Amino acid sequence: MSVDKIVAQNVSMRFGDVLAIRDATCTIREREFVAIIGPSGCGKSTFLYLIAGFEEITGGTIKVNDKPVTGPGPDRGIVFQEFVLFPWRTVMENVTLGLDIQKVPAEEARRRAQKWITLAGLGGFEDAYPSTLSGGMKQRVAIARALTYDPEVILLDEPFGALDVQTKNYMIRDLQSLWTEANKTIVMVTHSVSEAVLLADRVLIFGARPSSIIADIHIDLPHPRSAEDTSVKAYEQEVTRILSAEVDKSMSMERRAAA
Amino acid sequence: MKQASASAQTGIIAPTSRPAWGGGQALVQLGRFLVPIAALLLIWEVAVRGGWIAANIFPAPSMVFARASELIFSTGPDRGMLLTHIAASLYRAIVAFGLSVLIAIPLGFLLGLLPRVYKWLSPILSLMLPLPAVAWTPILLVAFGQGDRTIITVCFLGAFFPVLYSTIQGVRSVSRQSIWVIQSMGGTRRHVLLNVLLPGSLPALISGLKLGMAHSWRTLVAAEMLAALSAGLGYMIFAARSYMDVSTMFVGIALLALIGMAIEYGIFGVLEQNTIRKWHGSSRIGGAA
Amino acid sequence: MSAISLPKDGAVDTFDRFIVPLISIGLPLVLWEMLARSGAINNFLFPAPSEIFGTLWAKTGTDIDAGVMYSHVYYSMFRLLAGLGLATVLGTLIGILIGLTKWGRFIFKPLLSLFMPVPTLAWTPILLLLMGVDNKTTIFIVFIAASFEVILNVIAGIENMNVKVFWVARSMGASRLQIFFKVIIPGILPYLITGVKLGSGYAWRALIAAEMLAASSYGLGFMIYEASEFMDMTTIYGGLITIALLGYIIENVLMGALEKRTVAKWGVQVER
Repeated sequence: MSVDKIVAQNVSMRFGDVLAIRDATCTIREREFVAIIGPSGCGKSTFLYLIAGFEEITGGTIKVNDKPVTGPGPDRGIVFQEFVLFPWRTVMENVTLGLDIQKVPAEEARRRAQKWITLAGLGGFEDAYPSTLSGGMKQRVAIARALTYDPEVILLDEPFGALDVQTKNYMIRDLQSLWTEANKTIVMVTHSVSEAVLLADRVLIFGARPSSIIADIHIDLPHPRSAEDTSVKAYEQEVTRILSAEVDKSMSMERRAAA
Repeated sequence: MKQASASAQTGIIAPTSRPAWGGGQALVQLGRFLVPIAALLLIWEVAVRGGWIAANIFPAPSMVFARASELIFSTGPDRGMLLTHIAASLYRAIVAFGLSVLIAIPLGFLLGLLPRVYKWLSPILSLMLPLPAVAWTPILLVAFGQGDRTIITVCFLGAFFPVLYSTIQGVRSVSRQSIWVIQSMGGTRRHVLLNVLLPGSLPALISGLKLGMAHSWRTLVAAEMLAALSAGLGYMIFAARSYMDVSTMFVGIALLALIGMAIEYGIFGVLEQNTIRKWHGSSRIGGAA
Repeated sequence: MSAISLPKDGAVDTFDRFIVPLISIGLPLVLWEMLARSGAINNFLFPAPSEIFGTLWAKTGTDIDAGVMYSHVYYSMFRLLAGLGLATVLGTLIGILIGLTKWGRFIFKPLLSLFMPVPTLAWTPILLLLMGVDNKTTIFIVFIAASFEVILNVIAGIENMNVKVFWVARSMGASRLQIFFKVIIPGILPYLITGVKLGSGYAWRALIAAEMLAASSYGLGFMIYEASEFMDMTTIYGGLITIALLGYIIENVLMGALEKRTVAKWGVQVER
C-alpha cells in the first residue's frame, strides 16, 4: 500500500496584497515523481517553497508524513535552479555537507557521498572547486548533495533552467536513472513540458495567478522514456494544450494590468 | 586525497591541509614588477648627480639611503631614531586597526542579520563614511592633547566605518537560498553562521579589511603630523621641515610606501590568495556559486 | 526566489527615503540636546546641538565673523574643484598614454608604481618647502590624491574598449585627433567618471588634512584646526558637521548626478 507522503489541503498563499495561490489541493504518494508545471509567475515555485518550509503558508494546510510543515528540515532536500553550491568547499565537501551536519562520521560520509558522486557522473572531480565546473556539472553536484544525506522527499526547482539544451538532455536522462536508484518521492517544478512528461509519473498543472491546480495527469509509461516515442508525444500534446490556454489567460491579464 | 574533518563541538566543517601556491611563479611576478622601478631609480640617481634634478628638492636615492642608515646606525643624538619612528607608527596603526576590527566585524554581522535595525542606522552610517577621519583630530586634541591616544583614536575612526560597512554588505550579500540549503539539511542557526554566513561574507570582509587598513595607514600620516609628540614617521617627516632636511623626508616617504605595500600585499594578498582566488578563480566577489 | 514581484507602495517609499533618515539623524540630535542641557554629559566637550547651530548661524550672518563661513566653504570647495580638475585632465592624459602608447607605458607605469603607494599627505612637508603655505600646496595635494584613481580607471576604460571600434573609425578615414575626441574620450567616459568619483573621496580627505597642515587662512580644515587652538568646541563641531555633509554631497549627490546623466543613460556598467 502506498503511503500519502505530502498532503496539500486548500493551500492559499498571499504576499502582502497579492494572492499568489488561491486554492491548491493535492496528495503526493511515496516514491511518486510529480512534476509541477504552469505559466510564468503562477506560483508553482512558491508552492514548492511551501512544501520545503522556506515560506510560511497563509491559508490551508500542508502535511508531510502527516505532520504539518513548520519550516525546512532534513526530510525534504532541495535543488535550486541556480545550483547554490558553496564555493569554499570542494565537490566532495559540498556533497558530504548534509551528512556532516547530521554528525555522521567522516569515513562513512565520504563513502556514501562517493557513491552518488560516481553515479552522478562526477568521478574524478571530488577535489575540484565549484568555480572550475561547468553549469551542468554544478547541477550534478547539487543533485548528488541532495541525494547523499537521504531525505525522504527531494524538491527540485526548475533544475535545468540554467542549462543549455545539450546539457539539459543529458541531465534529464541521468536524472531518470538516478531516481530509479534513489527510490524517493520527488517533486519537480519545471516550465518545460517535455521534461515533465519524460520524467514524471504525474503532472500537476497550475493555472494562472491566483492559481489552483487545474489538471492532474497520470503518465502511465515505463522508464526510461524517449522523446521520440509516440505516447510520450501524445502526453506532451495534452499537457501543452491545457497549459497554453492558461498561458494565454495569464498574458492577457498582464496586458490588461499594463494598460 | 584530502579528508574532511567534522568538528562536532564547534559545528565547523573544515578541510585539512591545502597545498600553497607555487613560490617560483611569485618570484617571476615580483621581478617583472621591480625591474622597471629599479631602472627608474637608476635614472633618478644619474639625473641628480648630473645636475639635471636639484638635489635639495629630489635627493638621489643613494643620498636617501645614506640618510636612512645614518638614522639607524650613526652615533650621536639621532642614533636608532629611525627604528623608533617606525615602531611608533606601526604600533599606532596596528592597535587602531585591531580595535576597529574587533568592534566593527561583530557589529557588522549583527547589523547585517537585522535588516530592520540596519534600516534605521544606515543614514548615519552613510554620513560617516565620506567623513575624513582627520577631521576628528581637533576635538581629540582638545580632549586628550597630543600623543598616542589622539592618533590611535583618529586612525581607529578611519578604519572603523569602511570595515563596518563592508562587513554589513558582505553579510547581506549571502543569498537566502544558500541558507535554505543548510536548513533543509537540518542545520541549526550555528551551522548557518559557520558554514554559510562566515565563508560567504569573507570576500567582502577581506576587501573591507584591506580598505580599512589602507585608510588607517594613510590617516596615520596626517594624524602624526598634527598630534605626535616625538616619534612616528609622519612626525619625522614633518619635523625635518624645520631643517630643510629633504633626505630625511624622503626616507620617511619611502618607508611609508614600503611598509604600506608590505602590509597590503603581504598580509592581505596572502589572505585573498587563500580565499577569494581559490574559491572564485579571480578577484571577483560573490556569494554561493 | 518568489516568482511574484510586489509593486512598491508609494507611501512606503516616501517613508523610507525621507522619514527614516530624518528620525535616524534627528533623534540622536534631540537626545544629545537634552543630555547636554541637563548637564548629564560634559557640555564643554559635547556642546548642545543648538549651540553648535547657533555658532554656525552666526558665522554666516553679518556679525563679527561676518560671513566667514562662506569663505571657509568657498575656499575648500575651490581648492577641491581645482585639484580635481587638474587630476581629471592630467590623469586622463596620462592614463590614455599608458593605455595606448608603448612609450607612455614605459615611462609612466614605473612612476605610477613608485608613487602610488605613498600616502598623499606624506608629500606635504616637501610641498610646503617648495611652494609655501596656502592655495598652491593644498590644490597640489588634492591633485595627487585624486589623480591615481583617475589614471587607474582610465587605463581600465581603455583596456575594456573594443578594438573594433577603432577599426570602424579608421575605415571611415578619421584623423588621430578625431579618433581622440570622438572615439577614445566617449569610450572611456564611464570609467573616467568612476575614477573621478572615487578620486573625489580621497581628495576630500586629503584636502581637509592639508588645510590643517598647510593653510594659513580659510578652508574648513583650517577653520576647525584653528578653533582647536582656541578650544572653540562649537566651531569645531559645526565645521565637522559641515565637512561630513559636504563630503556626503560631493561623493553621492554630485557624482551620482554626473553618473546618471552619462553612464546610466548609456547603459554602461563599470565594474571595479
